[in-house]
Amino acid sequence: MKRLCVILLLTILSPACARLPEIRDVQPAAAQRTAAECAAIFPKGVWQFAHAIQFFPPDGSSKTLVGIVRLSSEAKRFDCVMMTIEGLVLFEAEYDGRIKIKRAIAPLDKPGVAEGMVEDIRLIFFAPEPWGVETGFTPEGESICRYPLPDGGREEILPGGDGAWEIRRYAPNHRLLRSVAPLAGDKVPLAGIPARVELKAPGLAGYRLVMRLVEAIPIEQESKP
Amino acid sequence: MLALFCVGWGDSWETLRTTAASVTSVQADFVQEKHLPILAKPLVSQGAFYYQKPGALRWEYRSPVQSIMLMHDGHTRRFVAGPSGWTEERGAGLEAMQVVMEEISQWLAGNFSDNPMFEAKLEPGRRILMIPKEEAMRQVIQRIELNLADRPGVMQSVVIYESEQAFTRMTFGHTVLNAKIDEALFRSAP
Repeated sequence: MKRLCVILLLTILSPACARLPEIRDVQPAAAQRTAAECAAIFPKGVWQFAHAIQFFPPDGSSKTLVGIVRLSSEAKRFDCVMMTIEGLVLFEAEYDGRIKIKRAIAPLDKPGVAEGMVEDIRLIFFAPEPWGVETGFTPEGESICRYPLPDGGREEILPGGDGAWEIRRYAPNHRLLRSVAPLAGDKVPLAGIPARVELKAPGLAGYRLVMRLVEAIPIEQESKP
Repeated sequence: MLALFCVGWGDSWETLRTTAASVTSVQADFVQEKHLPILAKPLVSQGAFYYQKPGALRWEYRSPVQSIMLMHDGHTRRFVAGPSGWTEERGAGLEAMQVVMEEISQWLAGNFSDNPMFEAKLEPGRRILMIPKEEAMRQVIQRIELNLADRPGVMQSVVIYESEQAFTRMTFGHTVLNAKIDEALFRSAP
């Protein structure tokens, strides 16, 4: 029994203590090219996106909402709205380094929900700060950029080819918190934005989001935000 | 018969009720515009609804997200189309939408002033203004404007204001009154 407990404990702890795979260095020119490829997966400028978002919680159910994000990549700020398909706004917030919640109606008024949503939006739409980035190849030979984050965690971007990129967000203990990747869609990407994107949050309280792009509208630079 | 009600249709609660009494079913297409301060242009959805007295309603969005809300025998259900077909969904504002569906059903039956949650005002130009009585409700919906068409028994548009800058406008078209509607439409999706 004692041995079983030790095995279980090791099984539970091992992913948390796992090291991230080594990155094989490349020549500076290749490193620059990889860094540019990693940054290129994110929208540039001011955009308004509307997505149909399917939320899959751990209980096996699903819920569909419409999400709108209006972002500025340069100002690193965004406004977001989550509403029912019928147009009832459940959540509205803006982010400019700080979260300002303007409206939150059940079930999106629970503690931590706003912060979680804002973090997911940042992960999907915004390139991480490039300082301290490591670029190179994974042991499997894939191009990779690994960014240190202010909380001690890491964000990895695998730019892939033909739009098959992946983003991975790790906690300081190297536990995988989120992964984001485009799904093979039935539509051509709109303005370079994938038709469908999947976000996975692993763990006991984990969830999955499938975001189908409904609209992508470039906004004139001088207008808000 | 309906033509008799043309004169004065929408001038009083009584004429509204009298006209609605002759309506047994309504079906129409609609275009929904969602206006928000952050939107460069409104988000447009399209769909259709079917209503059968005394209280069966099918509210169907065909684009950009396919979904169907069914109200029948006092129960409200929502179905959403996805890559693997139609799925019934709960939560995500379903309770609030149940209230809205029941309210729409009341309007289609000509009952505008009976809801204790709203103060209803009949204004010139066949416009009905509904203002929530409770402050808590006003936090969610500031007011609702119903615009009646010239044709008796027909709604032209509904505007639901969450604030002055955030509102949903539904404009109806191709309205058909008193046609026979298959009851299965209110029971199952799609």
